[in-house]
Amino acid sequence: MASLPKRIIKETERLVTDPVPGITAEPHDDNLRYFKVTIEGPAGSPYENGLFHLELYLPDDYPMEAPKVRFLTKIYHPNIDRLGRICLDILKTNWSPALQIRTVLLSVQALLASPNPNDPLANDVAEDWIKNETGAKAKAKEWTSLYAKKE
Amino acid sequence: MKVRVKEVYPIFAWSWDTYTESTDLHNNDPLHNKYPNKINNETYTFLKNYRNDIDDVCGICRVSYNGVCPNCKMPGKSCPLVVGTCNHNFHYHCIYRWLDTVNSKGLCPMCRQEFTLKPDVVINAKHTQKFMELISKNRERRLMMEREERELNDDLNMDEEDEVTRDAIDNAAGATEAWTQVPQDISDEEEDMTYDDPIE
Ligand SMILES: [Zn+2]
Ligand SMILES: [Zn+2]
Ligand SMILES: [Zn+2]
Repeated sequence: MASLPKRIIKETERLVTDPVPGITAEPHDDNLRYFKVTIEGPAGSPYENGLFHLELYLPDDYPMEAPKVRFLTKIYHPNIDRLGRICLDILKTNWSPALQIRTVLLSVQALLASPNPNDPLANDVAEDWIKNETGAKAKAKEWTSLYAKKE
Repeated sequence: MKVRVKEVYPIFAWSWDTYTESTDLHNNDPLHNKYPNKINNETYTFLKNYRNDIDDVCGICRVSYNGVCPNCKMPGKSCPLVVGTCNHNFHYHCIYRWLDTVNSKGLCPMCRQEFTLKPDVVINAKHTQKFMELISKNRERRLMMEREERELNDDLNMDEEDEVTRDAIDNAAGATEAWTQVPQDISDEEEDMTYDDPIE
């Protein structure tokens, strides 16, 4: 395996020594490009009190290419589909190598705080969100207590 | 007094002379003006801090400008630095690799303006040609993508128009049906009256 670029080592160190509040990211022992991530549901959102597990992978071309991030915990959100894939511009067309693992995870956390049903990935959820926001939020809250339980 | 030199440690320090946010500060700093005429401890501290300065890492690989990009071993000439018109600096290899990706759209990773080399900067001179080629390649790509997007939108609009015309035809057909039914009923009573088919 090719040696790990200095940038990835630096980013990992900083994630561990100076973690972002509400977010943990730990590299896998066997593969330092693969991170186990948890994000706490933001206060005031339907995801509050939930703990969401994600996986993050740094492709060989990182930072020329965006990290691959996916939710492992089931979540009811208009921009996250059934497979946990996330619709977030900085993960696709608006990626810049000036962004980091840290900024990416912060953006995902922000997406939980403010869902955007007008740019949906999960169309049925987005439709529900637009037509009946209160109901959709209640469902998101229900799913949070069902699937995103803190241990 | 006789002095015997036992050992000599030649010391060499260098740094890319480039614009950073802290350059203005450095120029006003008496420490900076001493350098390189007087080599003293202060200068070493200054150089050390200079290298550790947060402004002085490449925004792509996050290694000091005076260090090397991830693909190089020797700093300096073999892994040079370039200065952007937007005053963002990068290792030549890092920014070239980024601008050569489709995702970059030719934009600076820091400020998302089109990345061009700052004119009249000595260290940029050697790379001007290669960057011009890259810039025109990215401009072409952008135009092509815009054109494709426009065509796609046109197609979508056309589909929508198709739907509208289809609806219109459906409505017209429905109307005709209703229309032709009414006259039949009426024609029983008023035989002399004729009705035009609205479609014709
Ligand atoms: Zn670099
Ligand atoms: Zn290099
Ligand atoms: Zn810039």
